[in-house]
Amino acid sequence: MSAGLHARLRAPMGEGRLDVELSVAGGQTAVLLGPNGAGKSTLVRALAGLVDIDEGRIVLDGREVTHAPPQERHVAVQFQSNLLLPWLSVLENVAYGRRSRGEPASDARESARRWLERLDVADLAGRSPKTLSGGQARRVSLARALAAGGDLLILDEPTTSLDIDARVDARRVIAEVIREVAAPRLIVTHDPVEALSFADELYIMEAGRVVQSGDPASIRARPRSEYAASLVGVNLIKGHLGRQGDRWKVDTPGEPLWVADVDLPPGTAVLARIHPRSIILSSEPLRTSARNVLAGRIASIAIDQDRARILLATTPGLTVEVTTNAIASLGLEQGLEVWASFKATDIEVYPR
Amino acid sequence: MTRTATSSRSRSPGRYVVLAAALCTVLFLTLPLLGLIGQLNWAELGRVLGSSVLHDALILSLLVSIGAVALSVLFGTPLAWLISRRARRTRGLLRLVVIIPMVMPPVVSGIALLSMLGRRAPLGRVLETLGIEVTSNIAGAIIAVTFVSLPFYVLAVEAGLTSLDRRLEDAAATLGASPMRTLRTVTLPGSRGAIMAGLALAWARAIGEFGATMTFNGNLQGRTQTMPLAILQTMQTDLDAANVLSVLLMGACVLILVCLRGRLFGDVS
Repeated sequence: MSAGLHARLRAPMGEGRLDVELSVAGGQTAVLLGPNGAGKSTLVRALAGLVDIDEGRIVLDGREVTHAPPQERHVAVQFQSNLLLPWLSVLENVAYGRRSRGEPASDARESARRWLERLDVADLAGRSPKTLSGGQARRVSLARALAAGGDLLILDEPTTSLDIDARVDARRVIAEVIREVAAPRLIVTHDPVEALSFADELYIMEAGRVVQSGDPASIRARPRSEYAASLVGVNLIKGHLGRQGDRWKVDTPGEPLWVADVDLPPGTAVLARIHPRSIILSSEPLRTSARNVLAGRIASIAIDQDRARILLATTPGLTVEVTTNAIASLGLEQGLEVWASFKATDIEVYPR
Repeated sequence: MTRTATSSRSRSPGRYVVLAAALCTVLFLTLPLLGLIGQLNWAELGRVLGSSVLHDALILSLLVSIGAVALSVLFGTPLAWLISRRARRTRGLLRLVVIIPMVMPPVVSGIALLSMLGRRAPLGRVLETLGIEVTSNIAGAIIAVTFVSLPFYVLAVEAGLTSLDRRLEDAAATLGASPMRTLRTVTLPGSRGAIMAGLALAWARAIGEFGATMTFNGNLQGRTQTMPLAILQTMQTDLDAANVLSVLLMGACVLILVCLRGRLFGDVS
């Protein structure tokens, strides 16, 4: 038992039971991914001390806090619905945690101001939470959780309820600031894209249990449940935006991906998403208009009725979806060298 | 189609019946008050304003109503909090306990108080041997008025506490707030509107309390005679003076109402 979060939780939830084991080291981000009703909220409340567990143990940074009241746990939570106190200003909301821990008001406000600045919302300090937009309220509640500090940071559905633009923006901000948090970080979400972009360790939850956990790459390679497979059904590749002449590309640890023009500065950390069905598989190099052609061996073939998901040991690795007819006609089998072709316009690029 | 349906309904005779009934109600509620002002004998005003009856009664009424409201806040707030935090069954039972004095005729409340705290009643006798007198003085008036007005405060505050988003208290706790700090910075500010409404209702009830006070505490000028009691006594000999006192009391109530109108009728949330 070292620093970090070690928890085994069993508690009643709705009609079923929550039964989860979690371990997150300091400075690491665990993402809990699951559909609505999987027990994510119960888990958050149990870790924060807002519901009691009837079995198990919660150890935080070496302290046993299993039955400690919330104010003694030092678990900072950004709640899904923000829960800013409407009768306090934005600044007082962000300073609330430190003031509760007995810090002098001026010091707490100073730290609150710094966090608001860090999240680019310093100008909101004097506003009432009731006047904030959805995106602004998210930033303020994130600032409040960060300013409170603690031995565990929980973000509950940090981008749900935001529109697309605000969501992309919120993701970028979160990715940036949580790197500075030395405590273990736990992000709860039902959005696979969000999960894959934040996770050092991914926990997939269904009906109160963790059905699979591991680093995102290993889960993508071998999804153990239908739900997990559908979650990671897209190819999501991390990289940095680059330019060569007038052509845009995403530099990855392996081969670069050629992409359509992007409205972002080169060097931006991005995610490239390619749907497995947009990739054409051939048993020899093709001369086509597709700009991306990656060669590699077939790592595995998983057949589901008349479709097959083929995992390629290209760099970066790719999942390709083809019909079972194609498997027969091309004679595809594990270990065979193949070429994957896909168009630049079939790659969706967005900042991470 | 919907529009036709709506407009034909609005033209139906039923609409006029509703309007007429509503108008009658408004007149019924306002005419007596206007009459009170209309019948006011201005020549009497100076004399009544200078009378010792008014002075004594006004001061006693103010002290008694403020004392009763203070007791309601002091003892009613914890009860309201407790009710709002109980399971549904216990909550219903506790609410009933609070509502009974509200629906009881005030005279009955006065008799009930006498049967407990009167000179020959069990608790009253004990207090008397200790040298504490709780009837026929200002303490008695405060007890009677509190008995009648406290339930109004408790029910209003309890409704506010019950509708408060409990998750805000949870959020405060995760931020390290002790239960006391959560109460002070979340629970109470979050029910501010309800508390103000409760204060106004309890005070309005307290300033006008009549039946229980008279039954329990008597009607002695300068000692136990509050404004409503003074009005009754004056009325038996001098209707004009009673009229003036009534307008003054009404004015005081309207003033409080105007001061609190935003809390009572506006957007309390």
